[in-house]
Amino acid sequence: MINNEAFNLSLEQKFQLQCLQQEYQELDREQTVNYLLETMQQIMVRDNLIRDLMKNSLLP
Amino acid sequence: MKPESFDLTIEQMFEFRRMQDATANISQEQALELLVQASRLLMIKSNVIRDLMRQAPLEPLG
Repeated sequence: MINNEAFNLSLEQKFQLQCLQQEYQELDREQTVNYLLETMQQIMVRDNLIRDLMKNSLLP
Repeated sequence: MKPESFDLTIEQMFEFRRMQDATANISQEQALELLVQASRLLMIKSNVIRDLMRQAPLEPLG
């Protein structure tokens, strides 16, 4: 149902992640923790969207 | 897609609160490592959403 490739990063995303990784090096501890919490929140929102979309796609 | 999907559930709010507490004691190195992993996970979840959206039948708005 879900394309297996969706579970891997695209080339662009790999590059983007490397760039992010470099940018993160510049952050102090507090900023890093804040970014982490923000990202975790976004992950949870995406989880909800995925659950919702999965539910829809199972219905006729 | 429901507008509520964009909010955290009560359980997620608790989970988030728990994470906030847990991050109080982690080092910068640990936070950095987790941030990179979380960023990667976020991208993968975005891919899954894009993939599901592509398959989802269009619904009228409202």
